[in-house]
Amino acid sequence: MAATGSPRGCVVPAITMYAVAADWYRGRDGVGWIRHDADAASEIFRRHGLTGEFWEI
Amino acid sequence: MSDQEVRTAVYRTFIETGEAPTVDDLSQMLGWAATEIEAALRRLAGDHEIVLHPGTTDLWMAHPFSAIPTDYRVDSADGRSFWANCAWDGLAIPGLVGDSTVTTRSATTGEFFQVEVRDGRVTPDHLVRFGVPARDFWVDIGYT
Repeated sequence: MAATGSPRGCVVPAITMYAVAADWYRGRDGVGWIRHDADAASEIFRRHGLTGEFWEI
Repeated sequence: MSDQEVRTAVYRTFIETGEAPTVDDLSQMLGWAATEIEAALRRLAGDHEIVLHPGTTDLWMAHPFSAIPTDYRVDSADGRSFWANCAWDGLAIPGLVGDSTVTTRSATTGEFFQVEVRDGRVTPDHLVRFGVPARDFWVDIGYT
């Protein structure tokens, strides 16, 4: 099931959000972690099918 | 000394205990003066790496963890308990602490329900609603 969205809200399957979150927070507890810049954040969203205006950084 | 040592200590404490460390905790863990810890926490908050309670150096959030109770509770299979800041963060915590049960409240009915995360599988596969567009996540992070 693909994510559906609009500028006012977006509904995403939990399994998709689990996968996005795993990528987003990977290494967060480590010394070498670097906060995602806009490009990196957009790439994580795109990789999991979260596209469109709602997910633009 | 680097701010990243403080950030790492914050996350390790959350992961090990489910609770936020205090300035005194961090001072003892790292051997820094409390004033140095407070300065590092303020810089980390300024960089959006953590969130402090307004006007204090008390931790509020180190995403995905919340220092205060919320409607998003995560219980790990090995007996630790955590609070998440939102549904996304609730689904993120298992990635950091291992298999877990996420308990949260339905946005439509208000009733609590559970989602199990085991070996990378999420059951049942509920829908998560986002109300704030990605570019505005940090406009009011407490609301987000």
